[in-house]
Amino acid sequence: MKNIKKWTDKLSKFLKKEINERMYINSSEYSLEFRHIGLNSILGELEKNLGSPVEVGVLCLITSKNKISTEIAKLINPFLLHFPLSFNEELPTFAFPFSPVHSDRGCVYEFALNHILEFEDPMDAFQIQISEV
Amino acid sequence: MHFKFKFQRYNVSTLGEKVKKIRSKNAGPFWITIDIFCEDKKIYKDVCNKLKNSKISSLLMISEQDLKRFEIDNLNVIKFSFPRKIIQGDIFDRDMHGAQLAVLLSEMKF
Repeated sequence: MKNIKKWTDKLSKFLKKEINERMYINSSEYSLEFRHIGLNSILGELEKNLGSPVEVGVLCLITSKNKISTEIAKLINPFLLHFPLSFNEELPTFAFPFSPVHSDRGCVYEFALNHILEFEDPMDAFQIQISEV
Repeated sequence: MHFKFKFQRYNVSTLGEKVKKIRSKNAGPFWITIDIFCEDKKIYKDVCNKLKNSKISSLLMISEQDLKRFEIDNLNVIKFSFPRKIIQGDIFDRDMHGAQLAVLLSEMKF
Protein backbone atom coordinates (compact mmCIF):
# COMPACT_ATOMS: atom_id res chain seq x y z
CA MET A 1 0.00 0.00 0.00
CA LYS A 2 2.92 2.31 0.73
CA ASN A 3 4.13 1.92 -2.84
CA ILE A 4 0.84 2.57 -4.59
CA LYS A 5 1.69 6.11 -5.70
CA LYS A 6 5.13 5.03 -6.89
CA TRP A 7 3.51 2.15 -8.73
CA THR A 8 1.04 4.29 -10.64
CA ASP A 9 3.71 6.90 -11.42
CA LYS A 10 5.97 4.23 -12.88
CA LEU A 11 3.07 2.56 -14.66
CA SER A 12 1.92 5.86 -16.11
CA LYS A 13 5.37 6.54 -17.56
CA PHE A 14 5.55 3.04 -18.97
CA LEU A 15 2.07 3.25 -20.53
CA LYS A 16 2.78 6.57 -22.20
CA LYS A 17 5.81 5.01 -23.85
CA GLU A 18 3.78 1.96 -24.98
CA ILE A 19 0.97 4.13 -26.34
CA ASN A 20 3.47 6.20 -28.25
CA GLU A 21 5.26 3.17 -29.71
CA ARG A 22 2.18 1.12 -30.58
CA MET A 23 -0.38 3.74 -31.53
CA TYR A 24 1.99 6.50 -32.68
CA ILE A 25 0.27 9.09 -30.53
CA ASN A 26 1.82 11.72 -28.36
CA SER A 27 0.81 12.20 -24.72
CA SER A 28 -0.49 15.69 -25.59
CA GLU A 29 -3.34 14.06 -27.53
CA TYR A 30 -4.90 12.35 -24.52
CA SER A 31 -4.92 12.43 -20.73
CA LEU A 32 -4.18 9.48 -18.49
CA GLU A 33 -4.75 9.81 -14.78
CA PHE A 34 -4.71 7.45 -11.82
CA ARG A 35 -6.74 8.08 -8.67
CA HIS A 36 -6.32 6.11 -5.46
CA ILE A 37 -9.72 5.35 -4.00
CA GLY A 38 -9.49 4.92 -0.24
CA LEU A 39 -6.40 7.12 0.00
CA ASN A 40 -6.93 10.55 -1.52
CA SER A 41 -9.05 10.12 -4.63
CA ILE A 42 -11.28 13.10 -3.80
CA LEU A 43 -9.06 15.67 -2.15
CA GLY A 44 -5.81 14.75 -3.92
CA GLU A 45 -2.88 16.80 -2.67
CA LEU A 46 -5.13 18.54 -0.10
CA GLU A 47 -5.53 15.25 1.77
CA LYS A 48 -3.04 15.07 4.64
CA ASN A 49 -4.66 12.24 6.56
CA LEU A 50 -3.62 9.24 4.46
CA GLY A 51 -4.16 6.53 7.07
CA SER A 52 -3.29 2.90 6.34
CA PRO A 53 -5.99 1.20 4.26
CA VAL A 54 -6.01 -2.57 3.74
CA GLU A 55 -6.98 -2.15 0.11
CA VAL A 56 -6.93 0.66 -2.43
CA GLY A 57 -9.07 1.05 -5.53
CA VAL A 58 -7.21 2.36 -8.53
CA LEU A 59 -9.27 4.32 -10.99
CA CYS A 60 -7.62 5.01 -14.32
CA LEU A 61 -9.21 7.79 -16.38
CA ILE A 62 -8.43 8.26 -20.03
CA THR A 63 -9.77 11.15 -22.07
CA SER A 64 -9.04 12.30 -25.58
CA LYS A 65 -10.49 14.75 -28.05
CA ASN A 66 -10.28 12.45 -31.05
CA LYS A 67 -12.14 9.39 -29.71
CA ILE A 68 -9.11 7.20 -29.05
CA SER A 69 -9.77 6.70 -25.32
CA THR A 70 -11.35 3.25 -25.78
CA GLU A 71 -8.47 2.10 -27.97
CA ILE A 72 -5.99 3.29 -25.33
CA ALA A 73 -7.97 1.49 -22.60
CA LYS A 74 -7.86 -1.75 -24.58
CA LEU A 75 -4.13 -1.39 -25.13
CA ILE A 76 -3.27 -0.75 -21.48
CA ASN A 77 -5.61 -3.39 -19.99
CA PRO A 78 -3.01 -6.24 -19.85
CA PHE A 79 -0.35 -3.92 -18.44
CA LEU A 80 -2.63 -2.88 -15.60
CA LEU A 81 -2.90 -6.52 -14.63
CA HIS A 82 0.73 -7.45 -15.12
CA PHE A 83 2.76 -4.45 -14.07
CA PRO A 84 4.53 -5.58 -10.88
CA LEU A 85 4.01 -3.66 -7.67
CA SER A 86 7.46 -4.64 -6.48
CA PHE A 87 10.38 -6.54 -8.00
CA ASN A 88 10.19 -10.37 -8.21
CA GLU A 89 6.54 -10.67 -7.38
CA GLU A 90 3.96 -13.28 -8.39
CA LEU A 91 1.39 -11.84 -10.74
CA PRO A 92 -1.33 -10.69 -10.83
CA THR A 93 -1.52 -8.97 -7.46
CA PHE A 94 -4.58 -6.98 -8.41
CA ALA A 95 -8.28 -7.75 -8.51
CA PHE A 96 -10.26 -6.67 -11.54
CA PRO A 97 -13.97 -6.34 -10.79
CA PHE A 98 -14.85 -7.40 -14.37
CA SER A 99 -13.22 -8.15 -17.67
CA PRO A 100 -12.57 -6.32 -19.91
CA VAL A 101 -11.94 -3.78 -17.23
CA HIS A 102 -12.70 -0.58 -19.10
CA SER A 103 -16.08 1.04 -19.55
CA ASP A 104 -16.92 3.93 -21.84
CA ARG A 105 -18.31 6.99 -20.16
CA GLY A 106 -19.11 8.90 -23.32
CA CYS A 107 -18.47 12.60 -23.72
CA VAL A 108 -17.21 14.86 -20.96
CA TYR A 109 -19.04 18.15 -20.65
CA GLU A 110 -17.67 21.13 -18.84
CA PHE A 111 -18.80 24.68 -18.29
CA ALA A 112 -17.01 27.04 -20.60
CA LEU A 113 -18.95 30.23 -20.06
CA ASN A 114 -19.89 32.04 -16.91
CA HIS A 115 -23.61 32.62 -17.15
CA ILE A 116 -23.67 35.53 -14.73
CA LEU A 117 -24.30 38.84 -16.45
CA GLU A 118 -24.06 42.21 -14.76
CA PHE A 119 -26.63 44.79 -15.78
CA GLU A 120 -27.69 48.18 -14.65
CA ASP A 121 -31.25 47.27 -15.48
CA PRO A 122 -32.48 43.63 -15.25
CA MET A 123 -34.29 44.10 -18.57
CA ASP A 124 -31.01 44.84 -20.39
CA ALA A 125 -30.69 41.12 -21.16
CA PHE A 126 -33.89 41.08 -23.18
CA GLN A 127 -34.85 42.68 -26.41
CA ILE A 128 -38.50 43.39 -26.92
CA GLN A 129 -39.87 43.89 -30.39
CA ILE A 130 -43.41 45.03 -30.67
CA SER A 131 -45.20 44.20 -33.91
CA GLU A 132 -48.51 45.78 -34.60
CA VAL A 133 -50.92 43.68 -36.60
CA MET B 1 1.45 12.84 54.50
CA HIS B 2 0.25 14.94 51.71
CA PHE B 3 0.55 14.06 48.05
CA LYS B 4 0.09 16.43 45.26
CA PHE B 5 -0.85 15.12 41.87
CA LYS B 6 -0.51 17.19 38.85
CA PHE B 7 -2.76 16.29 35.95
CA GLN B 8 -2.07 17.55 32.53
CA ARG B 9 -4.98 17.56 30.19
CA TYR B 10 -4.32 17.45 26.48
CA ASN B 11 -7.22 19.32 25.05
CA VAL B 12 -6.90 18.81 21.33
CA SER B 13 -10.18 19.53 19.65
CA THR B 14 -11.22 20.18 16.11
CA LEU B 15 -13.33 22.87 14.50
CA GLY B 16 -15.90 20.19 13.65
CA GLU B 17 -16.33 19.40 17.36
CA LYS B 18 -16.62 23.05 18.28
CA VAL B 19 -19.41 23.98 15.87
CA LYS B 20 -22.77 22.50 14.95
CA LYS B 21 -22.15 21.73 11.30
CA ILE B 22 -19.71 22.44 8.48
CA ARG B 23 -20.92 22.00 4.92
CA SER B 24 -19.42 22.73 1.52
CA LYS B 25 -21.06 22.85 -1.87
CA ASN B 26 -20.58 24.02 -5.42
CA ALA B 27 -21.88 27.54 -5.92
CA GLY B 28 -22.20 27.51 -9.67
CA PRO B 29 -19.57 25.67 -11.73
CA PHE B 30 -16.70 28.03 -10.89
CA TRP B 31 -17.03 28.51 -7.12
CA ILE B 32 -17.14 26.50 -3.90
CA THR B 33 -18.75 27.79 -0.74
CA ILE B 34 -18.19 26.51 2.79
CA ASP B 35 -20.64 27.25 5.62
CA ILE B 36 -19.80 26.94 9.29
CA PHE B 37 -22.94 26.82 11.42
CA CYS B 38 -22.47 27.71 15.10
CA GLU B 39 -24.78 26.64 17.89
CA ASP B 40 -24.91 30.02 19.64
CA LYS B 41 -23.57 33.56 19.60
CA LYS B 42 -20.71 32.78 21.99
CA ILE B 43 -19.27 30.00 19.82
CA TYR B 44 -19.90 32.10 16.71
CA LYS B 45 -17.94 35.05 18.10
CA ASP B 46 -15.16 32.77 19.25
CA VAL B 47 -14.85 31.13 15.82
CA CYS B 48 -15.02 34.55 14.09
CA ASN B 49 -12.12 35.79 16.21
CA LYS B 50 -9.92 32.73 16.12
CA LEU B 51 -10.42 31.50 12.57
CA LYS B 52 -7.92 33.27 10.35
CA ASN B 53 -8.25 33.58 6.59
CA SER B 54 -4.58 32.68 6.19
CA LYS B 55 -5.22 29.34 7.89
CA ILE B 56 -8.16 28.53 5.62
CA SER B 57 -6.35 29.52 2.44
CA SER B 58 -3.30 27.42 3.30
CA LEU B 59 -5.54 24.46 4.13
CA LEU B 60 -7.25 24.77 0.75
CA MET B 61 -4.00 25.64 -1.06
CA ILE B 62 -5.43 28.81 -2.54
CA SER B 63 -4.20 32.38 -2.37
CA GLU B 64 -5.63 34.48 0.43
CA GLN B 65 -6.81 37.09 -2.07
CA ASP B 66 -9.10 34.49 -3.65
CA LEU B 67 -10.86 33.75 -0.37
CA LYS B 68 -14.06 35.64 0.36
CA ARG B 69 -15.27 35.68 3.94
CA PHE B 70 -18.78 36.47 5.12
CA GLU B 71 -19.81 36.67 8.76
CA ILE B 72 -23.56 36.40 9.02
CA ASP B 73 -24.39 37.61 12.54
CA ASN B 74 -28.11 36.87 12.62
CA LEU B 75 -27.58 33.22 11.58
CA ASN B 76 -24.37 32.55 13.56
CA VAL B 77 -22.82 31.45 10.29
CA ILE B 78 -19.34 32.05 8.90
CA LYS B 79 -19.11 31.49 5.21
CA PHE B 80 -16.13 31.18 2.86
CA SER B 81 -16.28 31.27 -0.91
CA PHE B 82 -13.46 30.75 -3.37
CA PRO B 83 -12.99 30.02 -7.08
CA ARG B 84 -12.35 26.38 -7.97
CA LYS B 85 -8.89 25.58 -9.28
CA ILE B 86 -10.49 22.92 -11.44
CA ILE B 87 -13.97 23.83 -12.61
CA GLN B 88 -16.95 21.55 -12.17
CA GLY B 89 -17.12 18.78 -14.77
CA ASP B 90 -13.54 19.25 -15.96
CA ILE B 91 -11.76 15.97 -16.78
CA PHE B 92 -9.60 16.46 -13.69
CA ASP B 93 -12.50 17.35 -11.39
CA ARG B 94 -12.57 14.91 -8.47
CA ASP B 95 -15.60 16.21 -6.63
CA MET B 96 -18.36 17.60 -8.84
CA HIS B 97 -20.39 19.01 -5.95
CA GLY B 98 -17.49 20.00 -3.70
CA ALA B 99 -19.07 18.52 -0.58
CA GLN B 100 -15.86 16.89 0.66
CA LEU B 101 -13.92 20.09 1.24
CA ALA B 102 -15.91 20.67 4.43
CA VAL B 103 -14.11 17.65 5.91
CA LEU B 104 -10.79 19.51 5.75
CA LEU B 105 -12.18 22.31 7.90
CA SER B 106 -13.98 19.90 10.17
CA GLU B 107 -10.76 17.99 10.96
CA MET B 108 -8.79 21.18 11.51
CA LYS B 109 -7.35 21.59 15.02
CA PHE B 110 -9.06 24.45 16.77
